[in-house]
Amino acid sequence: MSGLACVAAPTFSSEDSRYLEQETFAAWIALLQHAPCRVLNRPSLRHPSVWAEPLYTRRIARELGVPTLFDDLCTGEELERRRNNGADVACMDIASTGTFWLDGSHQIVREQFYTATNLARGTPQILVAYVGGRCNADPISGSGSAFSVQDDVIEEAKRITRLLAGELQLQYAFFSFSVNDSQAMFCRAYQYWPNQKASPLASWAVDAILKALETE
Amino acid sequence: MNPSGLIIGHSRDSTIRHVRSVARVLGANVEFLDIGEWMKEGSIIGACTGEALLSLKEKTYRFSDFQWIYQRGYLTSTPTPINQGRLLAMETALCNSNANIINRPNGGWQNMSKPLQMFMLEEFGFCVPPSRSTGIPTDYHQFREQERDIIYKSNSGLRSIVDGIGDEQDCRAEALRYCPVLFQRRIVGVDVRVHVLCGEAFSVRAQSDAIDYRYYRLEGSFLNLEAISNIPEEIEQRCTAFAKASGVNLAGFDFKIDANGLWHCLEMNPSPAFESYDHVLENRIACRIINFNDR
Repeated sequence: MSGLACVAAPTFSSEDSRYLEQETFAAWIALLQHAPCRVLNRPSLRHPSVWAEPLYTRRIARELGVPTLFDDLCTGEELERRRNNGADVACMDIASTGTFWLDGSHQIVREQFYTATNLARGTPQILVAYVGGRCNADPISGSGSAFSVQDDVIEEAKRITRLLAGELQLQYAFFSFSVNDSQAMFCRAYQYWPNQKASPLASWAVDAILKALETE
Repeated sequence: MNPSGLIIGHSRDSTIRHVRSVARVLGANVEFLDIGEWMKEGSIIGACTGEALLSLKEKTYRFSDFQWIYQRGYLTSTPTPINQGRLLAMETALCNSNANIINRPNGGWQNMSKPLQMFMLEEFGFCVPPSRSTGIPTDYHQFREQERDIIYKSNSGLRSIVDGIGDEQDCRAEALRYCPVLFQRRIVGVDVRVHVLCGEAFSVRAQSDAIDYRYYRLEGSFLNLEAISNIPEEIEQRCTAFAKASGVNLAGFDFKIDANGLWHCLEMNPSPAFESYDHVLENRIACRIINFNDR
């Protein structure tokens, strides 16, 4: 595998550009598989971990008996009706996997499909970083500031993180949980740093990644 | 009486038409959901609960009412957030359903990258041809020099016409800088397509003068398809095991058998268009789908 830094020519049509994108992505994930060195999150036969998206990972979690957010898939028209009735929960545009609050600030397309979850605004959350079998957790309140969560809930979030990471064959990921009635509910997995704010978890993850790459 | 099966696909898809036609001949009680129409004006309830209820016009379809579901869903127009989202909604409902589904979306996902899939096939014990995916002209020339007789194809799951490399392509190697291409040693020999469905194999030999026999009308002059029953047991077992490990019930494996009798695996298709093979198999694949029960 070589030379994947493709250059889009200005004369390419949008159709050609889409083809180029698919070809390059296909070559790229093959490169991840073939690389004769340590690769965190090498693609697996069973799970398309390279683009693990929330609906997929929540389904896998449910199959493992893990409590997860409830996904209610509906059209934009239905979502608008719920918004007009005062619902304010976390929603997701299923085509882009972008999440938003159902509070009126996000433009809803009536024909499009969304999921409405049961995650209410202000619910405390736990973010768990997972690197090579090691976990570190960071409780955050619904407003993003530090928040106190019972130790056993954090330990449960870490246990679920290890279980899911093993099933999805991930060696590096962030797993987010909401805390509802002292129970950790799995929300989603990220293969990138999901929080724009600096956090001790980010620097821990960087150190753990370097350590994992050095030791194996 | 409840219908036994549900076929989900595009009404113009030749594989879907074939399965529907065999179902009609057998008198099977089968429903059809036109995914193209559903993506325009259909709705869905309970997609994530395992009890999905789909509606299209005046008709409703509850997945749990069917003994099996055969689906071939894909986009036929330019991807937009709306049609991509609608396809994903259908896939989500299928993934979450407890019904017998041929095949669940995401099964055999690795087919979206041929070099990745070949690596996985090789790890599974299949013999695969030496290949190189590259976007560097000098790298291409080096592989060409090493292998001499090579073919090219797409890296991704997008269908491409496989063809040989000649002087003309050598001159165009600079264009690789715009997009990586998959090159592969050309295996000269007989093509065999092996379909597996729940432990049963259906094999067809394809003889043609075209490199890519699927396009023999463009590049060759003939194609003869012949059902065969004596494929090596280890090939059959390996195909079945790989399909199972990939999470698919129905898969189509492409092989080339060289002059030494060695079987080279080129690809596993997780959503095979099998109707042309099934014609020489006396519709055994379609019949097996219609009588599908994985429980």
